[in-house]
Amino acid sequence: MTGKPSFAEKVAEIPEIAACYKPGLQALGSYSQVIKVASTRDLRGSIFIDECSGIPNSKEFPKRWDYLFAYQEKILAVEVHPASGDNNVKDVIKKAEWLRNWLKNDGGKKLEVMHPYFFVATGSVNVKNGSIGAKLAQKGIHSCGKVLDVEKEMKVLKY
Amino acid sequence: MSEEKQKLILENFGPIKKAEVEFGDLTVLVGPQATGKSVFLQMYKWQYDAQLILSYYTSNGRFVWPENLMQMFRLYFGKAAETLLSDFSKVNNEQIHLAVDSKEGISVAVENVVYVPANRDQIFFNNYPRDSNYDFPITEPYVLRSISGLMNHFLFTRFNNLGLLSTLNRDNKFWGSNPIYYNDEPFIKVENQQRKLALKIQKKEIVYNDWSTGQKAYLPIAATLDLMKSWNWETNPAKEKIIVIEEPELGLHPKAIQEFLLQIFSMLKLGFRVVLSTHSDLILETMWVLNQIGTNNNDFTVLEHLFQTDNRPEFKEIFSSLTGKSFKTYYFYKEKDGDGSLSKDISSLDVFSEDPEISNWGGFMNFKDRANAVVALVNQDS
Repeated sequence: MTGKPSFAEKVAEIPEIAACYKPGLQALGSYSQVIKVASTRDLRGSIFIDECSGIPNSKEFPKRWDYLFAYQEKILAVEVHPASGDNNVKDVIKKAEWLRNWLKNDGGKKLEVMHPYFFVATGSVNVKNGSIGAKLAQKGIHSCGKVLDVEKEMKVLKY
Repeated sequence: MSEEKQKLILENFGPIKKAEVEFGDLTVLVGPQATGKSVFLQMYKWQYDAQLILSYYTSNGRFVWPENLMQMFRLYFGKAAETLLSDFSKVNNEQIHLAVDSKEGISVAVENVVYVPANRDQIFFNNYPRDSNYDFPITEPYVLRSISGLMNHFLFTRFNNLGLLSTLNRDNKFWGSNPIYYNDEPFIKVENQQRKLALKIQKKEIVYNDWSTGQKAYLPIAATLDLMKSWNWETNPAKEKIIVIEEPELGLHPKAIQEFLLQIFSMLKLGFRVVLSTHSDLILETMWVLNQIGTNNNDFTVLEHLFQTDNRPEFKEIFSSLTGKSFKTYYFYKEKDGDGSLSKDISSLDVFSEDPEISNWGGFMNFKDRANAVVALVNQDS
């Protein structure tokens, strides 16, 4: 193999998630609509981690992070979740903690996932404004409203 | 710099029951109206400058040396002094003493603590700053008199005989272009033989009284920062280099507040300590960011993202210089209605703190959260 491995090739090498790879944003199902990119041809695949049965269940973390998807050279982590109260925020933070551990210690360490992780809120709460957005930010999660506009957020984050 | 003065404890003084602040390189006080922030900050200046202030009055020749505490504080706080003192007033756990006459009048334009008060627009009369020696009755606070003196000094030393802001010694980086005065610069317009401060906006000469509120309120700040940057500290009798600014955000758009903060960062790099009182959530949000950077990776150059300074390369170095600086935020509040006010260190601004005053940033978050909740309620079917 020459050059850098593609997202699909990286995933294929990780037994826990190898079976979960989907082309484009297919792993996100109807939530693929909350991801906006300038060039859909540059989408390199996606995984619905929370439903990936190859990953062992954990008592400490009953819920796992939702999705990873690759766009151009980057792998992005996105959670699509309600944000109407403190419990929802705790859920998202706990899921992010699981993802961080998994990426450091387990199968995920072969993936180089971009930091920060992204949070897309379902429902009508504006998580960019106020303490919910601030709480997520302090845990390394960037709230991007109801849509993750990748180019726009990359600009904000200066990637 | 004397370390003991970096802490001030004030008890039973005006609206304050007990307030305690340990000052950092950048310190911000927040809190509702009439909780004593201004009185507290003026006493912070008093710690450093009492002797200089009283010497000023001695050398002025029109005032007599105070014989009791009330007279002493009348010279400093103006009429407000009558409501401040009680038998239980204490500074740093000690009764307040009457200052001893130094018998030497030292005249200084820049004191240890340069103080820009919130009511700074009151130093102007007929489009020009009042004379600090003669135009202020004893009923007005000293900090107003002293900023007027500084403003006059700025006009005297920074404007050439054509009435234009001199290109020498001035802070070109600020005056060249900024979101407060744009490319316009203040100049001195002579009208009926009277000097008046003016701006040329779209070829029209606009005198000070007709400027926007923000432009008016910012001028003493711009002048102070400009003067401080190029001041000859070697020969200045007062050397502490501390700047206190009350409510810098008065009348300013968020973009202009960002520019102000950039100016403050450059003062920190030059070794100044800065103290602000504010009601601006942009300033508080910046304190949160500074604290988070300080407690995480310490790479302050990430502020380039926040302040969008890509085309201003000098700020990379300025941001880097913030490493190791201390950023403090204090909340002044009344425990319950009618009680004297207290202070609390909320510097972490940690939104996960179990102390609601810290996690709500001294009340700044509550409205935002309620706004979210109300918007969610009205959108329940969408």
